[in-house]
Amino acid sequence: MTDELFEGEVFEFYPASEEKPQEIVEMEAAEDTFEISAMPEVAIADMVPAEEPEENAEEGKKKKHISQRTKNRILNTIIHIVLAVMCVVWILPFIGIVFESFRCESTGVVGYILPKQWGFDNYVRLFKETNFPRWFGNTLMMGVVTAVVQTAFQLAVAYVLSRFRFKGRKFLMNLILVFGMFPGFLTLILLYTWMYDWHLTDANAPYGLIIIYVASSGMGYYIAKGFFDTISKSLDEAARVDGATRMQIFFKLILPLSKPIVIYTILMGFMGPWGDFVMASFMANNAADGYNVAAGLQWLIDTPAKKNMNYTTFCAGGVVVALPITVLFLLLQKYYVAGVTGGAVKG
Amino acid sequence: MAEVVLENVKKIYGKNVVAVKDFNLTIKDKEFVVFVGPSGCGKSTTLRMIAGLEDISEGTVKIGGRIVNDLKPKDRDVSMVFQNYALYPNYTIFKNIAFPLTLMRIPVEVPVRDKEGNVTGVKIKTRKLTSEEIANKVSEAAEILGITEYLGRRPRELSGGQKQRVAIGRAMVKDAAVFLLDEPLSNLDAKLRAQMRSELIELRKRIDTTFIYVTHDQVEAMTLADRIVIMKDGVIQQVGTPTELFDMPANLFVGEFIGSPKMNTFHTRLERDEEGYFVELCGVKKRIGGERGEALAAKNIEPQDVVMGVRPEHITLSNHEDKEAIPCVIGVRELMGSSLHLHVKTATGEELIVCVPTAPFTLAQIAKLVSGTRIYLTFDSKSTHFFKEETKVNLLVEDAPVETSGETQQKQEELPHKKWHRIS
Repeated sequence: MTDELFEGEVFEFYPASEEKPQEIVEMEAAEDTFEISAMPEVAIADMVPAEEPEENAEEGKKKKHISQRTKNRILNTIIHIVLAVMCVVWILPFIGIVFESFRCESTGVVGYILPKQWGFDNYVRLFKETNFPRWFGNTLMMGVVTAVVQTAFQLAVAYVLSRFRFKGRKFLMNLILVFGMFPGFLTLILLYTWMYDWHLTDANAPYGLIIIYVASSGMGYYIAKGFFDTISKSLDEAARVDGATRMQIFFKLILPLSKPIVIYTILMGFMGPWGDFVMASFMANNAADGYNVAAGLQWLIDTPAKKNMNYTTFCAGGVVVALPITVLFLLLQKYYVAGVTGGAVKG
Repeated sequence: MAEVVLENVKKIYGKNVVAVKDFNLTIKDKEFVVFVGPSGCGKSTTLRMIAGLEDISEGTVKIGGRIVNDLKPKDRDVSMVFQNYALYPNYTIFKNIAFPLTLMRIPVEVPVRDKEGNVTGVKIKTRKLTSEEIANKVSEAAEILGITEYLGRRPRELSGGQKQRVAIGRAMVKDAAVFLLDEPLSNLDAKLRAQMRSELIELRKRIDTTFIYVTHDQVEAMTLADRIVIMKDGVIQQVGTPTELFDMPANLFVGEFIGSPKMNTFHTRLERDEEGYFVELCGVKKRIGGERGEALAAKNIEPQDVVMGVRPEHITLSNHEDKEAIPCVIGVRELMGSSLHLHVKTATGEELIVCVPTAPFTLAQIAKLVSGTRIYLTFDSKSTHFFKEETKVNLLVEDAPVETSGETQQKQEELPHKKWHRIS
């Protein structure tokens, strides 16, 4: 009924056992009477793209314009000049403070940078005549304790938020985000009152400060959580089926894989107390024994008279404070960078 | 080495999103069962519920006669292989395989003594495996899997196939009652997959335990399984041996899912006269005789609108003398080597796929089977399948589940919890 629909060749198949009609046998005998469709050739022609004109176009461009290499060179020069200027601006205060700390001819503020007389007088004074060793000890103690406790809290929070699914998880994460946006100093007075009641101000301020630093440490979970998220969840699941408890999974599998983020967290915890001024000086009130380095050094130059007397000593203190942190950073730089970027990019 | 029984198991996400509906299945001891279905059908969820990685919303799961609903994965006596291998990157291959053993405690009998030192009874205590025992087990597993030389390496130094072997090794050493595999071969390339498939069959003979294997690949299901559980939208469509599923699909979904290329379907009407059943296809009257006709007659099936299915490999080429042959024109031809896939169009505009083995043809004949050539197709009535037009259920299968529509699937896309995962 639909024979007219079909144009082209007809293929009829007869099982080998049956006798083929004479015409088919004849057709098969004369194989070359069948033409294979020309389609493949057409397809090949379609598939080969015309590449040559494009190349010509590119060559033409080169002749007209400044070469890409020259362009890059100019751009690079500009970028490097800008960067060099930024470097100088950024490093000048540091160089200044180092130079000032070695100045022996006077102790006040002067209008030049290079000292006329070099020496370690200021460093000797810093350790012998001021309360600096005590402040340094206070800060070191706060740094170590904060680093340990904060790391424990932060990693625990991050792991839980990364791996567990529970009611209110999202709400909690948002809440922490919002709370993190309030400056911590809003609670300054309140915290002082509490700490005062617990006798953790003045000379005892370092202990009170540890509580304050550690209390909010879980809120800095973002980077660690981002890092944990990059570790496949099926790793946890495999370990659970293999018989590990959550604790074993965390300590045996996740932590060894998270070295960069652990070191990053420790570093951040350790550094916090060294740079804190507002909270530290407020809590210590007027008791010099309770100062951290920042508050103590500021106390050295808090009146014009004292400033005139102690300015170079203050600079020497600044250099001493910078040393341990610089050394730590140099040693752990590899991990630090991996920690920050590892947490930022989901892999 | 245990029976796994799932009774009315359900998985509900959030309040009313049902991922697995009323799952009932008894997996016999030492049976190899494959869960197969399109993605999102709930097969992985079911497996994870058996493993204990996912809560069971309703129903019970029993392993070896023990209800395990509230047991932790480690207490269920299961071991599992994951799609992405889930090897511990910080450990060597040896430690990876040894990991479950180091956590394991085995029972030992400790004699109880009274004050004088006389043995008065026996107490059961547990102890950890000694490092020697662990080393023996690991090297034994490594030898079976051919990974002995890699034991000192770390996972990242291995290829995909080697990694998956390590993952299987890690699951093996536990001697668990149930061996769960979640799409273990999906991350491998096609050639390696075929090789690992045959290795799994070998391995299965050696391990000899209960296997539950999840895959979306029907070839894996057909080649590995003792029994296949085919799922769609959280509902079991059919449970049966590979041959049963192939020869007597319970509904159109099963028919189309099993077999490659896909089963051809015709919307037509099953008619009956004095001589028996027949259908009219593309203007050609086709008698349904033989086995199939008898089966239809035995059930006294009424004439009705049906979807008729014929597998591509059951269609053969014929000639114009055959009164029941359907004339078609070849659209696209795909030469697979051992067979030739022809995409053809009938006079009434229906598109079919025909899978023709190349062996019975001469090269000249194959060269003639190109686009534009007219051919005649026929098939044996015993290889036809009839599904009810409205429900898509096989007329010859009793109690077949009605094929569900795609609605549930769409609902899942909009799940709040899915978004949740994306944000996290």
